[in-house]
Amino acid sequence: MTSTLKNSDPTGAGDIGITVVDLYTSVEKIYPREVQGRYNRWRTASVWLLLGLYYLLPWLSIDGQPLVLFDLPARKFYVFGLIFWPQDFILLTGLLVLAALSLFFFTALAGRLWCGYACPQTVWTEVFIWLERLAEGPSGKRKRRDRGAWTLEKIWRKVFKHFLWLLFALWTGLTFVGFFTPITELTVNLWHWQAGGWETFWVLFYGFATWGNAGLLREQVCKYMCPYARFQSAMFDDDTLVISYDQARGEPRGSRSRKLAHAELADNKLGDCIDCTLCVQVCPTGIDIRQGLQYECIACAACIDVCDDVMQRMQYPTGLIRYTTQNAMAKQPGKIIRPRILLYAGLLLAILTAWIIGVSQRAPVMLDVMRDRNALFRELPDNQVENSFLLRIMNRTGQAQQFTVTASGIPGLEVHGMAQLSLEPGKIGSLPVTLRAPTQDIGLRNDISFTVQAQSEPGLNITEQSRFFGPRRSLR
Amino acid sequence: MNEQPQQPLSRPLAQRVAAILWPSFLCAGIATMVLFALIDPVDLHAISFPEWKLSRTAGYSIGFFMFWLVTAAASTGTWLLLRRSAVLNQAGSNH
Repeated sequence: MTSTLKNSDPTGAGDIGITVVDLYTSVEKIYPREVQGRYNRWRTASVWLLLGLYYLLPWLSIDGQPLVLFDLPARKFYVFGLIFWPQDFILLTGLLVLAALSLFFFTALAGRLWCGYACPQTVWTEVFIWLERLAEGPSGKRKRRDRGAWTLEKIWRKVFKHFLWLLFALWTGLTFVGFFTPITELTVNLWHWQAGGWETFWVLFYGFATWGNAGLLREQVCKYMCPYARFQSAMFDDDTLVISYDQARGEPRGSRSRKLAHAELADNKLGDCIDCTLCVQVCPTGIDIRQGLQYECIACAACIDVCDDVMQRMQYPTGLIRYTTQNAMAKQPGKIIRPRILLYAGLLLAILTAWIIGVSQRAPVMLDVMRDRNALFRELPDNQVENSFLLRIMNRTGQAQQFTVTASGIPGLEVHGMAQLSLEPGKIGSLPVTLRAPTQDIGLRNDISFTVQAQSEPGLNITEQSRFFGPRRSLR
Repeated sequence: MNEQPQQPLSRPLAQRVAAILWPSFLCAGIATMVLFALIDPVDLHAISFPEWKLSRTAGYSIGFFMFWLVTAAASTGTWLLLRRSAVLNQAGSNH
């Protein structure tokens, strides 16, 4: 262990300017060193939770209804017992707005938590690195072997790694498609080589994308492809939680004898940083956190874990690299509650409330009543008046329904002709309805209401207001 | 390489391709979602090429790739216009 504590710089990343140029001209492969510590435990827990949900959810169902299935072939979305239709698109939009606002809120409050613990790129890369370690060993060994000649061992280890990666990527692709088409059938069909062409294509496409992004591109996705990495600084201020190196405490950095007590450092013109460069070696994006906040930093906190470990070994206080704010670093008073936070939180709460109300108020049956535009009314020979309407009914339940239409509001008002409509789940149907009422009972304008009642379920009905017109009494 | 780190004029091919394909992929995904939330591909099929046999899944997929083609074309245009004159003036340069 002591060998790594010496002032050696195996990555050559100490020279600032040259590193930047190298990264742009040719991409150097990064071999992040393995790290242990509490933030790494958090990330591992997060990987298990998020990927566990991802791989498990498509297989679960309650009462024969899938728990989560965005059934595109049937245009019907099951989400935790609720059924959504394409007509509920506004709710989906609301959900996306909520997701974006949460990202803004948490970024303003705690920096790039998303990047370090929850981003699919991060969690899948983590698993791909685990598999790589399984096949090729720890980072130091991998690096040496990659630089060396092609041996039989190197070949079989690489083949084994890609085999593991491909299996995992294909499983990921299958699961992805399983969110959009029933996964049990899909798996059976794929197994018998009978899956639809497009489904097979998307399994392979998503699998390939996973293999490329999490296996090969990794940190380059964050550095060169991710739009969020480019605009997240707009949400940052001096009170945002960031990972930072305590320059005042660490500098001047340098090697020292382990016998030198912490209290004696100042006399020897030394800061707490022993310049072991472990923080650089563990960094998945290959930056040096000691140069300050950089957009490449995905806030994975690997440098905190490794530096705390070194500080403990040196019997120095931990936290030379830590979660902190720019204000705290500069010994300025900081605030958690600030206009930016209040604004994001307020918007988040308002839209969340609106969304919950929107979901709970969603009627299982929808009714639009349109009046016939050609004639306001028709007088019939038997002292009756007739009005024509067009009803648009939507069945938002999961079952086929038979609907009966009734009308009320005028004594003697009756529905003439057919007043029934059968609708498949999710379908909209139009029903022309003619109403008749005795002439002596109606005025010029009468408020009436239509009720659509499902035959199988007494509680399933909807009422809509409309108007029934009659002739002027003075003209009679 | 002295005090001022020199940035090369152009980025590696993989980065250029990724920077064009990835944002356009995201935008195409959103556009596909909005379009097919409002329009059923089966209806679209009926008024466009009813003689072809196309499933809903095929409709979604074709729609997505058409969007991706368009958004990637726009991204490529932006990249072409943002290239520095020095790159364009380099003889035989294809960056």
